[in-house]
Amino acid sequence: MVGFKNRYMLMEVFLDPEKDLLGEGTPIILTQFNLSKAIKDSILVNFGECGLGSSLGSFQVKYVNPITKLCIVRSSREEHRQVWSAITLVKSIGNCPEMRSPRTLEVWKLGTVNYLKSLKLQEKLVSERKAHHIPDTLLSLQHPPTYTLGKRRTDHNLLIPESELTKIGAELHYTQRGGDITFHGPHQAILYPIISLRSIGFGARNYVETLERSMIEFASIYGVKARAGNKCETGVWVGDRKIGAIGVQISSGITSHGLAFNIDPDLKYFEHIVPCGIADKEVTSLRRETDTLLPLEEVIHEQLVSCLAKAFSYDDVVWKEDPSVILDSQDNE
Amino acid sequence: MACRLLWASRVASHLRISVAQRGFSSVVLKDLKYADSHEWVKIDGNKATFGITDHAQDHLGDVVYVELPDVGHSLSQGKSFGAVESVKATSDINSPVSGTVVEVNEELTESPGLVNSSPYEQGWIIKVELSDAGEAEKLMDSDKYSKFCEEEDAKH
Repeated sequence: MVGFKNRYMLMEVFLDPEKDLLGEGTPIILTQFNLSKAIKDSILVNFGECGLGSSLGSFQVKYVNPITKLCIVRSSREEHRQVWSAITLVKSIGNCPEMRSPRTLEVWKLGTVNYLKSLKLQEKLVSERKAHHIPDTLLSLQHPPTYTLGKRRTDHNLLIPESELTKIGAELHYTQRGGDITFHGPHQAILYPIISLRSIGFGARNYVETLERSMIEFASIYGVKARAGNKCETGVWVGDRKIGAIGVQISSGITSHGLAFNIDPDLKYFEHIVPCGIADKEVTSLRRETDTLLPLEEVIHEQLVSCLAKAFSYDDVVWKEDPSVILDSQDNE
Repeated sequence: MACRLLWASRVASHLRISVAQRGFSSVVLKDLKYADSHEWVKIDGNKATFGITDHAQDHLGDVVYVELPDVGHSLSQGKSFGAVESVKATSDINSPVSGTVVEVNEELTESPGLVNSSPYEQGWIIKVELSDAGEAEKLMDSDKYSKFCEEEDAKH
């Protein structure tokens, strides 16, 4: 009928299920009812009851596809601009806020932590992250002298017998991370990101490349030109000398373990292993590669964390200064 | 990229299916079912074969090690049963359906790269006997899975 003049608008909805307000992990299903309610609420808030009254006449959500999130909305020709602007002001549908909420990284500065303790802590944080109880978290720490092996258990790359390790003051641990044998010790900055790769659509390769980029960016602060490794030589190198190592575990899209950057560790410990299984290549440190005066280690760690946060496009970094909060809560379990 | 598309068209013509050649999309085969953790399942009566998809192997990088479960190991849908290592990262492989392992692909121990070069054929990971055939209904078909991959890739 010519008397009723309408306009049909095609729109796409962007939902952010990571920020489920009910905290139950139930996915929001787009339906005609909840979209219609959301738009009407928006008209009410922005145009008042008069605006809502005049728009309601021909207003209807005609089609909703919950998978592609495409919707078709009808409104009268007179009011279509009002409805259109109200649609663009919709902030949540049902109980799921729309649009990408700012991504926050919570950083815990833990000082020196025993390796096994850090493993248990990471396991706990990974299951909490999987359950959406915590946001993306980063642990910034150091270890006492410790040799670690990855899932492939390449212990042929340990060049001294295990019994000798206590004499040099080191421990040995087997882990489920990727990568070969490596050494961790004082004055080596370690970062363990416990983050959800699925929420940023990253696979293992993108993740590791971004970790490499974070370290390269960090090295450049001190004028050190680092580069990513060649194929099969994941890590960060200055020329032919390795300055940063990576070994990661990804479980249902949540990461654990991470990276280790040599600030000024005792490089003699590396002589007892074939580092990362790559023979004939030296290991180096920031101290060796730069003439710049290095600031306090705490400052250096913060810079490294900031480079990582930037590389992963976090909008916000929250620093947690009290390590006893998460370290001690473990002891009580 | 060109040689991957060429390979994809060869696989497609061999299997007599059509694959959407939209620039950088990965290969998705029509007669398989898919889990949202990027594993594929081929169901044959009460038996099934699994592996990881082309999208998964592309995002993993070159696989250097595959951790296989033992024959007789029991699996539950959504739980991890093994892992692959690539670029110094170990990633869990989750089981798309529940069942018992009847065969594992021993070739992957010697040639883990088969997962990259032939994710749907020689890179199969395990064969299982299903315990609940109805579980396959929860999985995605090839169209849904292609859309799922596109949405994931659009996130960054």
